[in-house]
Amino acid sequence: MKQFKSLLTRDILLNKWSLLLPVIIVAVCYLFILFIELRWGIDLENINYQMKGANVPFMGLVGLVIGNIWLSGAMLSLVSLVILTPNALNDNIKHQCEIFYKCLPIAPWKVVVGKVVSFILIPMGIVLALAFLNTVVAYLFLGKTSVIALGTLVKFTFSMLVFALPYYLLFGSLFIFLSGILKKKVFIRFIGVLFGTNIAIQIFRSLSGIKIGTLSEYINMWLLNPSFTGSKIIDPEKLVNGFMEKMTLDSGINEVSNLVASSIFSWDGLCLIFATIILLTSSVYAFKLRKLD
Amino acid sequence: MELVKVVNVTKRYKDLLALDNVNTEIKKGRIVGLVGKNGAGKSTLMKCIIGFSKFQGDIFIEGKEINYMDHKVFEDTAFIPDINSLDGRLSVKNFIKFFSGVHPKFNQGRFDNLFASSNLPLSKKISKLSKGMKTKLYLILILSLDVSFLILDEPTLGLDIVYRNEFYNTILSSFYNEERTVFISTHQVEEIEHILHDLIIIDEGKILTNDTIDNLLTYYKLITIDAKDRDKLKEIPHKVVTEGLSAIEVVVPRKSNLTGFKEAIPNLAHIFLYTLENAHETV
Repeated sequence: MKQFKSLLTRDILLNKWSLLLPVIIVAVCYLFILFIELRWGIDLENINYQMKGANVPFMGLVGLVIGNIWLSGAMLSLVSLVILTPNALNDNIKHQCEIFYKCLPIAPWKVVVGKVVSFILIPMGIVLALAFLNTVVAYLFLGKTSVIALGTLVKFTFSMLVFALPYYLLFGSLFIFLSGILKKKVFIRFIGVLFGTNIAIQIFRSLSGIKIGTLSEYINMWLLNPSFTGSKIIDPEKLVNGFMEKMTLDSGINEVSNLVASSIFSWDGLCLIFATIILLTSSVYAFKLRKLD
Repeated sequence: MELVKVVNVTKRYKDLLALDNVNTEIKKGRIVGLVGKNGAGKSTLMKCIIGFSKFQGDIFIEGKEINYMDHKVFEDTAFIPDINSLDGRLSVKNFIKFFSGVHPKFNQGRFDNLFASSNLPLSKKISKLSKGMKTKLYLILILSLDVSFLILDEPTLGLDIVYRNEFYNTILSSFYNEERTVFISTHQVEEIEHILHDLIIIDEGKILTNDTIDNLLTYYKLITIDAKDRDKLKEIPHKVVTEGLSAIEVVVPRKSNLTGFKEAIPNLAHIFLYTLENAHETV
């Protein structure tokens, strides 16, 4: 445990600015809003939303919460998937200290688990804490007379990030694995290959006229409705119709939250976690058996 | 009793035969030097011993077989490859904290004693330290480990003579005891000869000698002969180590029948040179 704690402390110290990036972004957002508020004033309380002819009260507040989730997702993608995990296992090579760390009696699985904790779970914790803070702040300032309870909004925020967790774990693990087998910058290579292939497919499609989906189309489709089994986890249309017709806004959001959060326990959610475990196990062996320069 | 046993070890890098069926051993509680020219196979042998290189054959440390990239080797073995391999991104303080946390054999008391007299700046980043300071830090950390086997691969490369001298003296005074074994590779044999018990000479991937220093010094003698007597050397294995206008210094086997010349005890550099030149002769 002492060894693991030391590994985590080292990773956090070496990447403290990357880990603090979401806090800095949110602080800048607050300062920006404060500046606008002081300079021109904002009237968000009066923003309503027309949905299927109905005037939904305080949708501005709900919109803020959804915006907050998008911001959280973007921040987490930036920190975890762009900055941290792509160089998780080859950072020491870049800084010419690989051999020093290899001469320490540290089990490779501890190194890899340490990376998952400090490069995926800790940023997720930070982003989740910020999301809760933003939700509560938005509610306190805009939702005092709202028909939606604060608990519902917090639950919604939480459920969306729980929903995102397996995807961040999966993509984070993929990048960790790639950083274990590639010694140079992983992310640039990976994205480069992805973009290159995507463009090649698009060119092939337009030249040949053969109906073939591009990688980005498949990824978008899968991210929106990730399924290994073919069954949809979430059917947005069914949901919207459901809570617009039968439920109040509060119970509707509750319903969405339950459905989204429970997706992690679905067969598809388990498949994502299983794929993550395979990638992480492969990362352990890739890191352990990698040749020293 | 042997600590390390190397049995029929062969290592190839594509077309290059780096180790050629090496059989040797390192005895427990000794300071052993591994000397050879550049590219002789010193680092390769060390990397095989700690499992950093794949090889054919078997290597055992304390009877346990070495596997490729097995971190468990380092539970009781410390390896200093190169002073510049320290992580320059961390401050000295954080680096010490990390090192003491990850190594189960870290002895805090011994570290405090060693560190107290070092004058190392705790808040400075390692990358900002001078080469001498980095050496000091690395050495203090390694010497604070309760490990029984220390491997040093040309550890003083690039250091000036003051730090080189201090480096080896510190190892002798603060680390070595009869329970511990030190294995040092270098191609500058003169700087370690005062601390060695045993010497292994390697050339072109083959072990030429593995013996105690006491034995080696009894096998050879350094003689000074007149330049005009040079023809007398023709029939016996020898190595000319100093050549002057009127006299030359030559290393020859002690049992050779060259007598009547001024004799002295050769140093290890002389023996090393003799061994390389007469690899096929038996003493």
